[in-house]
Amino acid sequence: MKKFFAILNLSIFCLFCTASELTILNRQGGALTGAQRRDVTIEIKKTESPNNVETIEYRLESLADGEQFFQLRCSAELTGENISVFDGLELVPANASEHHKQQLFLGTFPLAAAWTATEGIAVAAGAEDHHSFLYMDLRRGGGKAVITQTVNAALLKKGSIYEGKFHVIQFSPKYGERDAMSRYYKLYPQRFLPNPEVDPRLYGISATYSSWIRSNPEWARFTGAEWEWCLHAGRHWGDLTGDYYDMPHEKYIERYYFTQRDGKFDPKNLNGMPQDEFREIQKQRLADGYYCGIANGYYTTGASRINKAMSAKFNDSLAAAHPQVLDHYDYADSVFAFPETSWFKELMRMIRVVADRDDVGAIAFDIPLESEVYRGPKLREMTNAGFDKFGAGVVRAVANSKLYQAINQVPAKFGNYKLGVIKNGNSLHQINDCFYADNCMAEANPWQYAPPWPRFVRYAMGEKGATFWEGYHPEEFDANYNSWPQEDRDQLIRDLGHYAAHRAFLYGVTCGAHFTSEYLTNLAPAMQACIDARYKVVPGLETADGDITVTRYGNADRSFIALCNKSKTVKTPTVEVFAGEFSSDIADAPAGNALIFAGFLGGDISNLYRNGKEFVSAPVQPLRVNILEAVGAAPAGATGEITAKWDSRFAQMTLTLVSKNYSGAVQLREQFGSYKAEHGGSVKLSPGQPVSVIYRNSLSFIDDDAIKAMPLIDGSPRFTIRYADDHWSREMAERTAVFFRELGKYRVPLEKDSALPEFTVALSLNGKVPALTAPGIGGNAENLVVHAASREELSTMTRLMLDVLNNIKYPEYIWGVKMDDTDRSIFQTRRYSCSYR
Amino acid sequence: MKKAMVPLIILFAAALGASENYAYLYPSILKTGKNLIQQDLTKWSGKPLKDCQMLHGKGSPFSPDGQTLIIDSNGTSPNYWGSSTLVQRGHTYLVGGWVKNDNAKILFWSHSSYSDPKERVNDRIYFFSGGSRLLDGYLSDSVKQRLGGDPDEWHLCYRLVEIPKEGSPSPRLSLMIGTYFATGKITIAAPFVIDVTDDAANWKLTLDIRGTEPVHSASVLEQNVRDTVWQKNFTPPAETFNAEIPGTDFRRGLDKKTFEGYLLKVEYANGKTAAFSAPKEKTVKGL
Repeated sequence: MKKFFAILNLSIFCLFCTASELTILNRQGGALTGAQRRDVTIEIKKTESPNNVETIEYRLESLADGEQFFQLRCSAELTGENISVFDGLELVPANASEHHKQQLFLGTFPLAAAWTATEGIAVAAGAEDHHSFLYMDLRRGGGKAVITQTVNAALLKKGSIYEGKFHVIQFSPKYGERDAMSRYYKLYPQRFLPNPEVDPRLYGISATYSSWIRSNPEWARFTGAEWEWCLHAGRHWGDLTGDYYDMPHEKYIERYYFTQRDGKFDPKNLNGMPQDEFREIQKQRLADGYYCGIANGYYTTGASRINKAMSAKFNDSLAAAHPQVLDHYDYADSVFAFPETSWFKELMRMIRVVADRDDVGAIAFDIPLESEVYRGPKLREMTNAGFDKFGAGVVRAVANSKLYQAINQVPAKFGNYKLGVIKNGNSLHQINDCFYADNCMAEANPWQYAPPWPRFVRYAMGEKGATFWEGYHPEEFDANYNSWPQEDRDQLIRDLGHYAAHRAFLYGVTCGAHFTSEYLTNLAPAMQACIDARYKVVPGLETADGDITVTRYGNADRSFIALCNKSKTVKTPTVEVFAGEFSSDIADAPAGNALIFAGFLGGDISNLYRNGKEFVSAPVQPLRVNILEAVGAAPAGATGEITAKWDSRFAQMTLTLVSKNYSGAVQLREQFGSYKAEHGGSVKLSPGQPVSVIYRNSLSFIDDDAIKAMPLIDGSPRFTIRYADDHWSREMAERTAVFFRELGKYRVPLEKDSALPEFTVALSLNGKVPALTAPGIGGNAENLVVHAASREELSTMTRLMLDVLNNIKYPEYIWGVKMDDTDRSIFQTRRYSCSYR
Repeated sequence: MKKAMVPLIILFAAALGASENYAYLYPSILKTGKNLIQQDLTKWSGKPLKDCQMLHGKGSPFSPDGQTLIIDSNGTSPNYWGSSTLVQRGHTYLVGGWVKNDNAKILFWSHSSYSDPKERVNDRIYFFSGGSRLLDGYLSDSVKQRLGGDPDEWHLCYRLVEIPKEGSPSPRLSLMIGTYFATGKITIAAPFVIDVTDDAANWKLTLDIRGTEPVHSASVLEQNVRDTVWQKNFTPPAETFNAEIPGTDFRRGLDKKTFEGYLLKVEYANGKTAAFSAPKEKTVKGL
């Protein structure tokens, strides 16, 4: 590693029209004096990363006791005409010759990019650098643009360190800044891809976000929910375990427990809840995760706010005076969980207790208040302290990032996972900790901000989870909404649902339970499939139709295309597919095999291969979506047209291909989740000769028609719900009873059946439940049986069985506003969640 | 009554010069209390944001020359016009103003001592009419009709705000009016902050018609339930009318759980209508 003590002016590379440099300056932005150079060691290392990325690593170490402040500046220059610039949040107006923006703040990504029609260059700060104060500047004019990033670094005592990276990225301008984003994500897969060690449900659709109200299992099922905020974990803010239970109570929080206990809230009578009663409520709430088939996110505000009575014990962790602090929370003090502080140690102790004790998939942090600045006594012990006009400090987003990383190392009680982290993000705050969270709740509904909302949430989270909060709130559109005729009330929800679906599929931001309607319920399997494949920032797609938005999820033949029609007429857009980009996530990557797409929701999809190019064409109803699924590949350079169509049932799916003028072999996927091709995926096509490939569901041991014919109810239930001896089977028997009680208004008796193997539940007309030889859903004309290999599998399998019952036998059971005829027309076949995992 | 007629005279002085074109609809409270908020709207604070223009205009419900404040936004950030005034502890204030709404969501936000939880006042009214520029292509015709958005309609929005007895000696009450859903255009006129602590305040709604735009009918409805509180047909159409409306009481603005304000509708002889309303505040979410 090269060491020197000087102003650095390092030219990284200079191509035809790009150049970049790194400079280290004093606090005011001037050159370092000789004394300043003597008091610091500066180490610089330049490396070349894949995908045309140059990385400049720097490390500053103080050699003196006093405080030192530096500006670390990296610039890149682009020459050419009509230069567009992205400042980390949005495009800089074309006529702006200068522009300044604080990055990592207010949703702004730490990447600035400039591009012409033919080339682009970006400067980005490292995603793991824990910066507090980062800025971008633009100077544009005279046929060139210079983009600069500046880090404010503080060394507060001898031995203090500030280290980080700048990345200078050459990228294709084909999709604006997106190719630069994709290349950046590839530098930090651990920050922008799902963590394989946490429960994968944490990246999916969220439930109601009602931490203090018990989950409704049917609502969660209709939503397609896979995780939930779960009960404020303590009686006091910051008390995760109940260790601080006897402190003076907080009526603000406790009211919800009382509401839950007896449905009434009496503010004059709040002191009487004993801790054991509180714990019982808490246990009931946490049991909902298994009961509803969702992962529990353990709600806490503990990353930022604790009860005032607790704060004296952790005074090294509290907010020092800061002129910008604005506290909304009456009963709590601002607290920081930096690893150097006592609060971090106490919080981690409590998290480990919770993880050992309860069914918790993630810690879910509300009110993370990422931009508040810590200037307390532990600041001098920290690396990468920054500074602003008020002096040295580190933002809470840095504390959160390190806290989240520590949480990711804690084993969960169930499922052989580590704890995940969910955060309630807010556009008003710093985004660093999004890089360390598994899912980010955007506390807003889709229409709360104008497009490109919620793009910045998606950019900050990379390919991890993101979700809207709120819901329809129709009374906000008209205070008199409740007095509208029912049809008009439903129509408003339908209209808003169409918009919600568009914004959700455009950026892979899921809609939580408060958006549930029949339309979004039917779209939920598609959203789950897309999220599971992961949002891709480089679309790899183009269409000339301005009313159609295109989004890609997943790679190659594991990919999906979401088409949203913003117009009020039916559209059949032709979309060019760049198969090389589908495989690499890099714009302009060379093409490989051509992909074949079928409609996830049904319908004929045309795949046209011509002159080495590939086009897919699919109808999209007005204001609706269509989801295409890659089902296989044709050889590179293929010529001709193939239409593909799914016909999906629970027991099997049939993929039918028709060649119009294509002759030759294609390679189809051999497996879609639990569905496996009967005779492999290699198929030969000839013009005009339809070919069907059948995929059998390995989880199904009963035909759809047998389920449909089962005479379960004849005025009243004719069956009982039988369950094995174990506790978990009993729970799922009760869960199954809820389906009939809530939706059919039938009370079904439960019977223990000791003859059943562990993890088994059955709907039985004759009391003679057949044994399943493998996990799945099966039975005969008089029994429908669910059998699983584990507790976790039984929970999700039972929910799947109820989905199957709902769709095959009781389609009249819906949640929320019904679909209209156009909505209904887009769902031409039905897919189940097991079809893609 | 201590607060006499001075503010009414001030208010109407601006109106009289242009009475030939206007009918007047206002709470009777305006007769009884001094309007404390800055009436020179050029002195209100507000700054433009990207894609959001902050403009001054003319033409209030009371006068074609009356000042207005305009926010016209296609951007992504909420924005506000704001002003503040000194108020007294333990007093109650009627806080509001008139707005025209072209596809925005409006937030009336009155607050005092916001940074101090013990003294904080934080009252909000969210008001959405006429759909949304953002959602325009998505809302069905039946919904648009139901939302009834006439961008030229003046709506009266108000809330009763109580200043806590305890706290700093000179509290200020701020009134911010702006866009919450960022896209759309709103026009703000004749904001008011009136001390209504005096029990003798007149809490009724007054309908005052003067000018050359004859009115065919007028009615007062209660928001939400839409029960007609009062209704009158004028035969022939009236150019002058002044009466307090029986059955109205602005103190109901304190009852934020059940009361959503009044909707006052006027049909002019030429078929044009006007409506004034005090909409419901946003649903409380808990945390």
